[in-house]
Amino acid sequence: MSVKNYHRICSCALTGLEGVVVEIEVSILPGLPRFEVTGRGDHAIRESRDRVRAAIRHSGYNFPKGRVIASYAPASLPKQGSAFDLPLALAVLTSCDQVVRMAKAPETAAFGELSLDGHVRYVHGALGRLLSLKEQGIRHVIGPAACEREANAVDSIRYQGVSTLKEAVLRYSGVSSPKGDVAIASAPEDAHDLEIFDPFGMIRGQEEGIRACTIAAAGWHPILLMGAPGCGKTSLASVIPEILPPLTVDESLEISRIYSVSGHAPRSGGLVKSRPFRHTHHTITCGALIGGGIIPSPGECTLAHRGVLFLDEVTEIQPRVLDALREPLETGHIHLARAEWSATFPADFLFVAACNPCRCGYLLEQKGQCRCDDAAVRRHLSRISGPLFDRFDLVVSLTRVDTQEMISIPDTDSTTSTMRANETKKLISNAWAKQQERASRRGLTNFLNAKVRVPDPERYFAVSDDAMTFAADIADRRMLSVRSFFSMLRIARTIADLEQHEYIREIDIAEASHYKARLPFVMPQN
Amino acid sequence: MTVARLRIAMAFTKSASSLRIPHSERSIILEKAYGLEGLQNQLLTMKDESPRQNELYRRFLNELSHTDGFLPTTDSDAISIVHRDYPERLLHTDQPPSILFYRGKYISSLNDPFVITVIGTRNPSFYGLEVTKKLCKEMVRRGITIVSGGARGIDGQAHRTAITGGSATVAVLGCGVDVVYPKEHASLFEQIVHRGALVSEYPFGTLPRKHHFPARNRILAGLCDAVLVTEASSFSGTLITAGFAADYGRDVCAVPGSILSGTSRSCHDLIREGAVIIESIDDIPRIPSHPIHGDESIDICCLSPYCNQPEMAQNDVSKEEECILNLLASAPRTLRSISEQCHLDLRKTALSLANLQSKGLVSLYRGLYVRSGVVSG
Repeated sequence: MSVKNYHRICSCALTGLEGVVVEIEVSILPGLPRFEVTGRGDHAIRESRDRVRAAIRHSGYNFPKGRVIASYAPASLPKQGSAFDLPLALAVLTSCDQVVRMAKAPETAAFGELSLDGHVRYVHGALGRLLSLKEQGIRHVIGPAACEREANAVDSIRYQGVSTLKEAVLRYSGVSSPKGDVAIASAPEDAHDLEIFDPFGMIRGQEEGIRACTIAAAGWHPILLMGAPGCGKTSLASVIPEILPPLTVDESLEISRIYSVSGHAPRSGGLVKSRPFRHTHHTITCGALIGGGIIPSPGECTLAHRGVLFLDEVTEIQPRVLDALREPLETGHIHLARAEWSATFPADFLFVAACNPCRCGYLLEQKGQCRCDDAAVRRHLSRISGPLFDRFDLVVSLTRVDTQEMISIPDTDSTTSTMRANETKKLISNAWAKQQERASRRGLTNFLNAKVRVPDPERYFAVSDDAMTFAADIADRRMLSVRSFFSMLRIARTIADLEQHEYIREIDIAEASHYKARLPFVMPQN
Repeated sequence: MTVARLRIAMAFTKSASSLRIPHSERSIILEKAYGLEGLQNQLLTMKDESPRQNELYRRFLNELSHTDGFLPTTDSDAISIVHRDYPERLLHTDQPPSILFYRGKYISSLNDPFVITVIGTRNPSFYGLEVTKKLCKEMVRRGITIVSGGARGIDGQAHRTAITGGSATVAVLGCGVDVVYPKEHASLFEQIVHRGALVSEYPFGTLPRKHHFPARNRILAGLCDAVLVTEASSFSGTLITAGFAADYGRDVCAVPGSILSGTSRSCHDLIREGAVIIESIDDIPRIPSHPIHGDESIDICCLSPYCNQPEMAQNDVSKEEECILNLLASAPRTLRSISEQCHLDLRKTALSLANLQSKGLVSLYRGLYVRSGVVSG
């Protein structure tokens, strides 16, 4: 840049999960000393003027005299956050020649927040910013040292982590780090991969629940856990992410990007290694669940992408909020549109919901403590709309485990339950492999049974003839809808996959039909 | 013609009840008028006999003008105590309603040689529903008219069984016959209109009130030869009906239940006080042993898919299935508890249960597996 008193530097703003490259221009004009920022910034950006001025002063540089104007382009895009502090300071210093770049220095972008004394602070969304800078062809980035672990996941970008403005100035002017490119040791991360987890340890006696959760995990089936208060619904749900197969590298990157943007990145830095488990309170709003805001930000079901979204007390959630889940459950993503913007977030989550079967909660208990009549039960469950209820592949009735029974179960020593957990985990990943193999023969990308969409499910799922007549018989008797019937076949397919059987047999259909139980309030036929 | 008759009936009932004129007195007026048609003239001639009669006539005319825009459905009508189709059994009670309002075609079936009233709790257990279904089905085969209260639970089950079997059924309501209460019985009431009648002593448009129901119960008891209580827990309203029935000399019959669940406590009270204990409908005194209307009702019954429900002999169940059946005989259970008690794994239990369901021996009720069908032996 040969223009005097002018400098241009790249940075990156976030809209939704995508980054947009922002050019920051600084020009020093004659006039009374003023510092102006233009380009649709929010409060944090306007306040950045004071931070930048203080940081420059405390790092031993001089803030230029005269009228300083900074412009953020594209000017039409609303921008927010404090990540532009560092590039703004670098641009100001370069435009008044306190930083001199070498003639052929590569284009370098920067982001980071400044403290008043000149330290560079962590900002969220590093991964998203770097990925979109990479798409724009920028190869050199200066950013907070705290983001280095995240940045390591992005190849072909030379990321220089800095902890002070002074250091950033050195890097920007072309002086490379004295340490050189010390590869950040990735060793400590892998430590927790050692099998020390024991998810089944805290569950006693809920065999049916564990089985249903295993099926749900093996075929990505939405599941509804119904049972008395305190019977272990939440514990069961929290087991599911533990028994799911580990994330692939691509999935991990995908999730990390979401987490990094929404400020949920792991404190230690680095990529997200375990499947998300999002447990929400039942007072959740629509915006919090599916996303929204003036600048689009992802909601809980995007944060649960490739993991588990657990809605406890699902009957207490506003019906309008619940029904917003129908679209992502069907398509695996959310398309949000507002007057000013529209965004598409991924939302391919395993839906786990829990509720009491009636107002008092004891409907399913054999001891008959429940005094709710049919109308009361219907009122309670009608909070879940019919179309949404239809989408639960598995409905599980759980009952309390007697204290007597619980004591009589031999104190599960942790090695057997750990062994069992590992066994389950292996069963599930084998089932996933089987589904993947079947899908690849047809060239399908969505391979899990709950997600597969083919015109001929009977053939695709390989139902044996006997099993098909058996299934049709059950469907007639229970008056299942077409959707429910195919959902029963899907579950049966998953069960057969867990057993590593090529064909669906009667026993698989029978088990599947058990979890397709109709609502408890429904009268027996005739 | 019908509309005019209905308007007069409604105006008379409303004006008479606003003056608290008892049914006996209303009946005398109707007798003098030779039915609803001559009622207006009769009231006019009686008007000068006393200030009360004068007031009655004034109110009658006032009410009559209020019913100007009244447009009933074509199946609606009213019947007075002097009409020959008026249910004869009601005449032998102490407070027969002077006018009955009804919707439906088969009001005359209330004068059949044998009529039974089936009542019970509004919040039944599976056992209560099954018992009602079984007994009503047998009665339907013999062409017996089933009267009940049109309420939720046992009442609804009794009506439904009668309708699917193709028999006449009458619901006696505590509100106007054009008012649907409870709301979920809207379609059931429509079916009853086609297969029998909705009957009430309250004029069209009357909303259900708490005090209507005990009064309604006296009609329920009065209309029949025997009252059958299939399931009633303590402090049940069915006791009121049973009390009326005993007063009117009807046979009171009750089905016993489990002493563990407490859902049949009132039935046991009735039995303790001398009610007939019922295991099959032949235990009901004086019940006709052959179909009333010849064989025709049987044919209708067998045409409905409902009657073809297989009542399997138990000998073709496997050993595991038998174990499950024995277990379910005592109480409804979940899959987990069945598999634990029978020492089977979950998958095998699910298969056995699916088989048992297709044989009609087990079904799901309120989320639990229950024993269903007829227990043989």
